Amino acid sequence: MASERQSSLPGLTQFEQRFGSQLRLHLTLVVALFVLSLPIIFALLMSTQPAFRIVQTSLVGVGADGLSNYVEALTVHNFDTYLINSFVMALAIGIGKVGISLLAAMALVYYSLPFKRLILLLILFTLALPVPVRIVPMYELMVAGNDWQLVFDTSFYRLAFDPKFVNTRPGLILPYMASATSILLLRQHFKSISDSLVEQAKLDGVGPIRFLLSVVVPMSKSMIAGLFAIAFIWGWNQYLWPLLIINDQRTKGVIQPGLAQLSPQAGKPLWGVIMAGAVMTLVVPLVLMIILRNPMLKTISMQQK
Amino acid sequence: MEAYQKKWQAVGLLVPTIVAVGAFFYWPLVRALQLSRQKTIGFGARSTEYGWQHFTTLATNPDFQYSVGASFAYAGIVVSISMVLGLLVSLLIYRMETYQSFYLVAAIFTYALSFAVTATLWKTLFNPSVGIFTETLRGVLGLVGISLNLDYTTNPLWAWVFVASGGVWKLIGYNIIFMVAALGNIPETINETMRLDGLGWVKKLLFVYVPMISPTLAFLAIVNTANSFFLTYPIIEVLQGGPSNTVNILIYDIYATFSDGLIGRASAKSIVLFVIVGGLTGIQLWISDKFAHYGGA
Repeated sequence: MASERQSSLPGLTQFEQRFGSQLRLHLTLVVALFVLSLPIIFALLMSTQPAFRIVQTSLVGVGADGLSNYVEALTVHNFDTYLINSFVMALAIGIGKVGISLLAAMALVYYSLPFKRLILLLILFTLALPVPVRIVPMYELMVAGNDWQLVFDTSFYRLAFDPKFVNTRPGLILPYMASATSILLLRQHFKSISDSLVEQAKLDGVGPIRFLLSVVVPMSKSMIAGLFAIAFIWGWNQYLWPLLIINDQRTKGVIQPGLAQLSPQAGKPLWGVIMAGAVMTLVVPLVLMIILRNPMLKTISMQQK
Repeated sequence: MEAYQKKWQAVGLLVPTIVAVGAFFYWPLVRALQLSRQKTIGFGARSTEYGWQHFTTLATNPDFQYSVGASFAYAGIVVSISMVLGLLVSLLIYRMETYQSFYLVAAIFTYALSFAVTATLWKTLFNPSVGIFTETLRGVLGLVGISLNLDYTTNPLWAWVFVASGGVWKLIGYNIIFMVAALGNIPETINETMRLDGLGWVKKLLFVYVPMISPTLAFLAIVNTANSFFLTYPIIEVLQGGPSNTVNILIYDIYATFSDGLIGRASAKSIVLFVIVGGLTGIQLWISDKFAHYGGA
């Protein structure tokens, strides 16, 4: 640039100074990120080591055990089932949340509807109701079906919330289906789509569902991908609710409570296996984040608005 | 805009949301309020009306007061440290001219991790006898002749280091996502002016960057506080309340009460948590709304 000042350091041209400061930045950042990644690096190294080595010495290097800890976690400690169950759960939550939110946003933007503000407020308010706040009644809802008549004697509720939801995928997944964040972001996005498009569609006799699928969805691809990634990662990482609702951890369990249950028993240190389990637990959402990083980052930082 | 008129269609589109929100958000809230006014031991057991007694008992119970105070202390520590560290890393990424997106992904990886994974890593790395953090620190302290109790099951201070560092590590990624985005929105002319004025980096940070992204910082402070109130459960669970219940943070306290079958009392505690989180969410929405009107981020 022509307007730049003379170099303030004697003997250095603007280019050299700039290059030097960028190099310093790179070094500082690499060191900072290395420190931030240390727990993961240790986990990766420990997951390859035979048990005795980790206990006897804290020297860290790649161990001789290679992948055997991973095999043990998968075959002996049920991680094969956990991975599949968690994948199904996260996928269902990702698709379900985005799908349901698309429909709701469609209704909120393209229809004239009374009480719109009230509906929006009620959706917005759910942000203040995270799982831990609802955990006791939600558990009751799913588990105490037999005693339900004691508290709410209508056949609708008995029909809808039968105790058979305990230990099942619907019981695990359904409570996560509503998403205030997705609805609000999609609504915002739909509103930015030009009015003339919907007018034109209506003149052409295009129905609402076709309009949604062939006009709105293609125009919202990036946001849909971002919301899916957020919901999938959120679903994959759930801990407390699966811990409560699933009794049959062996066949129905998901990965986060499964990992927490993998603890070293007396006399048989499992550190290598535990770390292998941790690596498998974190790698799926991490890979998804890396693949969908651009739409995901864009969508996350829109949440602030 | 509102091109379609048929109300039954609109209602149909909203039905899945209404059912999910009603059954899994509002009904549990109503039910929690009911349960918090009953004395119930175990599901299905006969319950007796208890009025507001759970709340009045809790208000004067020193253990519960400690629990609420510990939650705020925990949130304060985790939020401030993770935001300061996040801001420093974000500034480095922001000033990077090449490979910026690579560094960004490398810096936010903890966003994709769960608190349960964090808890497992911490349990292993902080293990009192074989953990690599513990051993390294013990070795370093040994060189200067200091011997500390680095067992999180017996040393309350170290137990707090355990839960706080885990929360900080996990939340840094989330903070960096928003901070880098906010820094990226600072107009180039401002950077240009600063370069001409020759401001030092500390001054730039305190007098230019922080004020410029203050709406984002306010948003993050509140969202992080709410998150550290409830999402950190798996990390806190490792300690089972900590040495002599010194890490009995509210979310753990609720779950422990619930596990003991004290449904009414647990519900009353969850209502207290709801009021805190609801209040914070309200403040956050109010702030975003206010800043949005002034054209802020």
